[in-house]
Amino acid sequence: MNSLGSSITQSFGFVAKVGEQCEALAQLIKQEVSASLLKPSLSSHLLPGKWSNRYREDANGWVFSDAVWTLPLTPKAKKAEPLYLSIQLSIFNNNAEGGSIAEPLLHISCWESPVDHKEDCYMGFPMEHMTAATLHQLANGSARLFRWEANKRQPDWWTYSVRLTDLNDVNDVRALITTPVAQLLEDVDAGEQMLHDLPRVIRYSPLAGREHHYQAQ
Amino acid sequence: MLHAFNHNKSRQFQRYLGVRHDPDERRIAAEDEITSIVMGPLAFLGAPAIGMFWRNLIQLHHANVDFPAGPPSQASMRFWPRNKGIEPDLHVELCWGPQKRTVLVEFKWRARLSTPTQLQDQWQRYLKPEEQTNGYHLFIGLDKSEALGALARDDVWNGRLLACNWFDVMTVLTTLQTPPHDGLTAWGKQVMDFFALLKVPTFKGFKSLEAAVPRPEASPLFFTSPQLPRMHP
Repeated sequence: MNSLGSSITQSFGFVAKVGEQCEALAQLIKQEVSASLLKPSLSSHLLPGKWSNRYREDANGWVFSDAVWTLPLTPKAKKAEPLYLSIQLSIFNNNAEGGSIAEPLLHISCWESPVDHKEDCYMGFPMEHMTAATLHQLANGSARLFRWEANKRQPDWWTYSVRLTDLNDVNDVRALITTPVAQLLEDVDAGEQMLHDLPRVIRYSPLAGREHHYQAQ
Repeated sequence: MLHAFNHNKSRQFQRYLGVRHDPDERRIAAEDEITSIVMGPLAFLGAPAIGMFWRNLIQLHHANVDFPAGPPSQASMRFWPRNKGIEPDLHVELCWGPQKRTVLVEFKWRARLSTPTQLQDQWQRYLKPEEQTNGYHLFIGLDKSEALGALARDDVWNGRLLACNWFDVMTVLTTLQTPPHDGLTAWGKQVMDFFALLKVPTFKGFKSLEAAVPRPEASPLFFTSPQLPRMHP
């Protein structure tokens, strides 16, 4: 048996199976999040749009390195700017830009623009301009939520991360994504507190010798 | 038919995806065939299995299902029953001794409601008032839009119409914790495989892939580089 050939065949078969599960996970997350936005506490101040998706290939174009699913959210408050809830799946994070962790991560963000690698707008490092409180937590290695001050006194923009392989059924999706996202959209401080009580949410600490780079743990 | 489709013995399921095999087949009864293929075997299982499936499906949307505790002692699934000229797809009756619960189900496959009031008629005219009190009405389609439209037009259900899609059914099939020889687990696996053919995926989780992690058999004639003898200066 040619072991190298066998490895190639098995690996591509495995990638196809992983991709199938990633798409099914995306459908589950989209359904669960959309259903949670119907709750009066959220539907009273946020109007969801339609989900869209983007994919990014690796340098040679043979496999996907990232996938992003985005939901626009329009605040009902006067003069408030649109928000975008993005679920960013990043496969290759074993470098300083990806968080120096050798496994896929799901970054969940609520920003003023959609995650889009072509626009150079995505979760990755270097990352700057976080709030003073986030920088303080990053410095002591306890940060589970990145926060940035939004325009016009709107709630902070935010990002947190989980391991892809920690998501294995609908209960995981609810515990790690639907429930914290709903809480963060309602009240960022309460949502951050909830994340600190979830040990499976990624903690970030400074990456030695690299300014504005952080390590996922 | 589940086994025939899943073992590649029949490709008749392609008709449900819009592929026409027989130009003389005037109408493809996809909805009724899928209902029968999927729900028919469940109807042959015992009351605990039938009760667990419907309880878990309702629980996906309603944290507190209005069912008595424990498995039902009796269960029946009647297909295409008629009352007052109205014919829902499935009437499930679950009994815990004298306590009865009704689950009325309308299945859709790439089709719209037959009339704008189809679901309201089923709930208000087909069911008896006492069945409405603690019953549930389930819509199961490729997407939920027809049920959400019915709710928006005229909500007569007081929270008891659940808009589901087939993807929800697949999610529920992964939650059925039963002994391995219980027919429910075997049925669920066949249904998930069948719906994969129909392009409805199931999220089985990444742990389900552990057995598929590439582990090529080691060959005694083939060494990867770290095992090669090295010369050190």
